[in-house]
Amino acid sequence: MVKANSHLYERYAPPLFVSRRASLREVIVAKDKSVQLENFAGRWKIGVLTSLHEALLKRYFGHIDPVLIKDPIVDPLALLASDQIDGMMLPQATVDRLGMSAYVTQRGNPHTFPPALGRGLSLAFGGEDTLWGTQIRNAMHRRTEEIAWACEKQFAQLVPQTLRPYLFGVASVIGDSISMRGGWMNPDKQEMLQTEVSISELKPQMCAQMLADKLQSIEQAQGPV
Amino acid sequence: MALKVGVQPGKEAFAILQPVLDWFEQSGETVELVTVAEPWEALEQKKLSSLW
Repeated sequence: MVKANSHLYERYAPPLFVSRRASLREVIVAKDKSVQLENFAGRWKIGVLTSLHEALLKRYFGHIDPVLIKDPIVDPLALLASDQIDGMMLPQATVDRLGMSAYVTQRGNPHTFPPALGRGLSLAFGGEDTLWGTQIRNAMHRRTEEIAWACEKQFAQLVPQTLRPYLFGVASVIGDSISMRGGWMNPDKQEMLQTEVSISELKPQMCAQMLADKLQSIEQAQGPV
Repeated sequence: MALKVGVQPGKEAFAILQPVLDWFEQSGETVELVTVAEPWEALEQKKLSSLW
């Protein structure tokens, strides 16, 4: 997934294509089947790929030691084999692609582990002036996912920089309506804040703004912890 | 000649690219995936056909 960078996104807008969205679910993979989040028998070291999931594990599973994998090129299978960690939290789609389904010990609850922004979407840039670029755009591009991505991208730009690694949410387009459920995990307060908005217009920027405003209102109403 | 396609570092990118790879296979195009640390620069400099 392409990292948020508004300058470069604008330069290459619109993307060549935005793909159909893959699974949003997170799973735990481990060599030992007993490595599960609700198994309090061990103090498991669980590798995670995002600061969001690191914070969520700390918040909801105090007996788990999350290990943020800072090198994203790392091979999950090799890491598990090295015994540096007991298990890893990975997107379902990644596990399927890597043929690691046999190592799945638990499927995450999407309410406990909501998807990071853009989860499951693949974007392509460049090649729009070529024959293969035109062909693959015609074959792959999903207008509804492009609108959803625009909404999620805009939401990321509307919240304070410090919260961006902890954002989650997914937008969906049905007919002429957009709805988005999203929020953030505040690592300092150890709180998850989330809500949902929908509008009956295909205006992703407006939908993202509504979500950001609603979250801000909720946070202000809660007051300092 | 294979299209040289850059992907952002991370296994997730490879996972969600599967439908794209399938498309190339079916269409007879060959594609070489390249994991690049500075993908945007590589695209600017035409070292990549596309960036996913």
